Order: sequence, then structure tokens, then C-alpha cells
Amino acid sequence: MSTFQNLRCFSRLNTPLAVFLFLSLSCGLSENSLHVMAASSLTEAFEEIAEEFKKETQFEISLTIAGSASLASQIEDGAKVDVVALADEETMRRLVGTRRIEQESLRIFATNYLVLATPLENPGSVENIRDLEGSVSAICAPQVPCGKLSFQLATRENVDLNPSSFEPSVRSVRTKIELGEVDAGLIYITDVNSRINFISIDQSEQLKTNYPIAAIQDGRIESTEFIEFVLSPAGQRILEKYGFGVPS
Amino acid sequence: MTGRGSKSIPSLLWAGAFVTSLFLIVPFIGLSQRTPWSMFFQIISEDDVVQSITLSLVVATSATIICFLLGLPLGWVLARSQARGLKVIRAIVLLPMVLPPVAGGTALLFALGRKGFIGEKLDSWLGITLPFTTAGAIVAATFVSLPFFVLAIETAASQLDPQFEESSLSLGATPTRTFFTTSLPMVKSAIFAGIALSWARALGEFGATITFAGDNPERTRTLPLQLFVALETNPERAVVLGMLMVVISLSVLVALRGRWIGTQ
Repeated sequence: MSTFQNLRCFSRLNTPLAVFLFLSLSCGLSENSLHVMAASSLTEAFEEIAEEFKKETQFEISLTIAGSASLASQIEDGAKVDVVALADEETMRRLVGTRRIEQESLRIFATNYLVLATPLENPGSVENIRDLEGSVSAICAPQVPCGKLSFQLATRENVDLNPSSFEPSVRSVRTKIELGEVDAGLIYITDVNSRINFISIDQSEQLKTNYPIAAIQDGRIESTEFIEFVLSPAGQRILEKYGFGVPS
Repeated sequence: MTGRGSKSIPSLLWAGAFVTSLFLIVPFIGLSQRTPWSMFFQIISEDDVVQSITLSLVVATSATIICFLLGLPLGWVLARSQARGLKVIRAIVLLPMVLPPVAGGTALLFALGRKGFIGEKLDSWLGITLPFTTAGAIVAATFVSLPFFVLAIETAASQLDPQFEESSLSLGATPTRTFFTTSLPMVKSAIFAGIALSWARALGEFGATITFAGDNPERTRTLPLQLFVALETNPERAVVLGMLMVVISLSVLVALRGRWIGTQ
């Protein structure tokens, strides 16, 4: 998870092997490149945004995707990165506290909310969030944003979550549902795909999570340009295409 | 026996060995430097940590027992038989050792998961589901540690002088009796080495477990999973848990491996 940025050290070795590794891995060392870390739920949207950004500015984006909590720990530990986009504000506040964030660059760029998901054939006959109590379920672990949100939602709905498994990311919850290993789970609306069945939860949109983006201190000046692009109509259109909400 | 030929080691090899040792030791120095030792015992006696330790010991020990029962016959046959097709088995045995554990866990899920081709039968015929259970965690740990046991047995059995077994057979003992009274005692140290290695590997198992058995606080959250959880919320606790795993594994390896392999 944390090895990608470490690849940069190859550039210092200056041996044919390092050059070969460098070229073959093309780990974003060129002049025109920006290192962006993004939460796993942003995977497809940010891949497309990176592509569009490159078309417009000739700037290459090297993306590191992981759970928000892991990304935050890596940045706290001094990972070399220019921009970070997370799936919740609390984790971002933690980073702001460590002073590694350019505070004035901080923006909310998207929103997301949870839905109930089941395998296509719905073997557990799950119909609403209350059915989570008695069924085999997977929920994001409480330390990742989708887990925090799941527990807030469960508290509001008076549901006692007792999942079979706490998954490290929303994507692994979806996988467990897709494979039919669990009968139900809570995932983001943006993670719904054609291989699972989803059920909206009443008023779930009210309990949305805000996605913050910010530049890292001493990063490249083009960081601002990238953040502006994400917030621009072009960037927002891509995010909407993947199901994200527009920040109000 | 330790001094055997030590005068003939070129200094270049000494230098190389020194660098290699450093490379292996340095990360643990880093870990122990960051360990908040004053909080060590407080953290490892917290309820959920104690639960993880207990679960880890149960899982690793059960997996090792299964490794012994399953690995002994296979290791022996691999060492002794010339049968065709064993080449493939020999390669497959090593797979869990070189495969990313996550891939192993995924493979287990497709075979033994609730919708896996065997797991489905287990579920519908016997009502047994492995994912999200301690049994599932044991299966995952067994899968990754089996190669260590099989290799230990295979290596020892192939180096055995067949002369002892031949004389036992010529004295009228059956192959089964010969195996238990003559062959097996001669590979005793390999068995203990295999036990130590597979136990330590099972104790540290993470990827296959979280993929196949999930992360359930009561049933599958072993020490490595607890460490993973802590890493994202409470790094101090993660460091302590990491150090705890080093201490447990190191003592097992030193006690068993040093004793049974070193004295050969």
C-alpha cells in the first residue's frame, strides 16, 4: 500500500538497473507530474479526472489509491505528495492538525451517502436496513470513513450492527457482497455496480459524507491548478457521472 | 561443531554476512526504538488485545497440528516416491509460500467460500460455512504454513540413509511398522523444525485471513489483524503489537529451531 512513493528513491541510484526500473515503472518522476493521493472510493472518477487534466495541461498525474486512514498515516509519516483527496472531513482535520496541509487550499469537492446492498439474488431476503441485524453482513471497519458513516446511520436508525466482518475498505465490502459471501452490507451509492442489488435507505442522503481535497505543504505549485480543475464544471461532471453529489 | 571450518571463511564472506545481518536486524531496531516500552504491558493486557493473543495462539496451534497431520504424509511421499505427476505436486506445495497471501485467500474463497464450488456443498449439505469463522481463519493459516512443514519433512526424508529401513524390512517388519519405529524417529528434529516454522508462519498470517475469514472481532481478529486495525487509529498500539509478535515468534524460533536444527 505504501510502496509506490518509495520507488522514487531509485532515481538516486543512477545505475543502468535503476534507470531501467525507473523507465519501466515510470513512477511519475518527470518534470510535468503531480503526485495525488485519493481515497479508494474515488478510484475511477480520479482516473478519469487525471486523464482530462493531462489533456488540458500536459501534466501527468501519478495516483496513489488507498483507504483514507492509510493515506493520512502515510502523509503524517512524511510521504512525498502534492495533493490529497479523502473520503471524510475528520481524517482531513487530523492532517490539518499535523500542519502538513496548506490550509487555505482546503475545499470540499464532492459528497456521498450510503445504500444497502445485497447479492443480485438477495438470498437473505434483505429489504431494509433493519434486516442487517439478523443477517450475515459486512460493514466497513469503524476506522475508515464509510465505517464511521455506517455506524452513524445505524445509530440514527436504531439498528444494532453486528457484522460478520469489518472490512478495511468499502470496495472489499462490495466484493464480499458480489461473491455472495455475505447477504448484505452498507456501501456508498458511488460503489453500486451491475453485479449487486442496492436498496435506498430513507433519508440516507441527509447523512452524507463530504470529500475534502487539499494541497500538501511544499508540494508543487500546480497543486492548486489540479484542485481548481476538480472543482471546475469539467471535474464536477466527471464526479457526478460516477454518482458523487455536488457540494452545496 | 560450531567452529567447523571457520578459519577457511574468506573475509569477503564475513563482510557479506555482516551486511546481510544488518539488513535483517535494522528494521527490528527501528521497531524497538519506536516502542513505548512504558506502556507495553498496559497495552498487551487490554481486553481486546488479550482476546487477539488467545485467538492467535488457538489458530496457530490448530493450524500447526493440521500441518503435521497433512504435511507428514505428503512430505514423505514427495521425498521417496518417483511416481509421475509428483513434479507438479512439488511445485504446487510451494505455491502458498511464494504467492501473495491475499491471492491465496481469494483462491480459498472461490473454493471454500459460501459460493465456492466446495464451500457451497459444505453449506448446503452439512451446514458448515468457513468464512468469518475461527475455523476459516485456521484454514487460511494452514494453507500458508503447510509448505514450511512439507519442505522440512521432504528434505529430511530424502537425506535419510535407506539402509536402516531396509534392514528393518528384511527382519520382517511391515512398511508401516518400519515407518513408525525406524524412519520417523530419525527425522524427529526435522519435525520439530517444521512445527516451529509453520507455527511462526501461522501466527503471522494476515492477508489470506482477512481475505478469506474476514475481520470479526470475536472470531477472526488475530494479532496481525488487530495490528492492522491499530495502524490506522492508534499507531502506538500498532508498534506494541508488532513488537509483541516479534518477541513471540523469535522465542519460538530460537527455542525450537535452534535446538532441533542446530544440534544435528
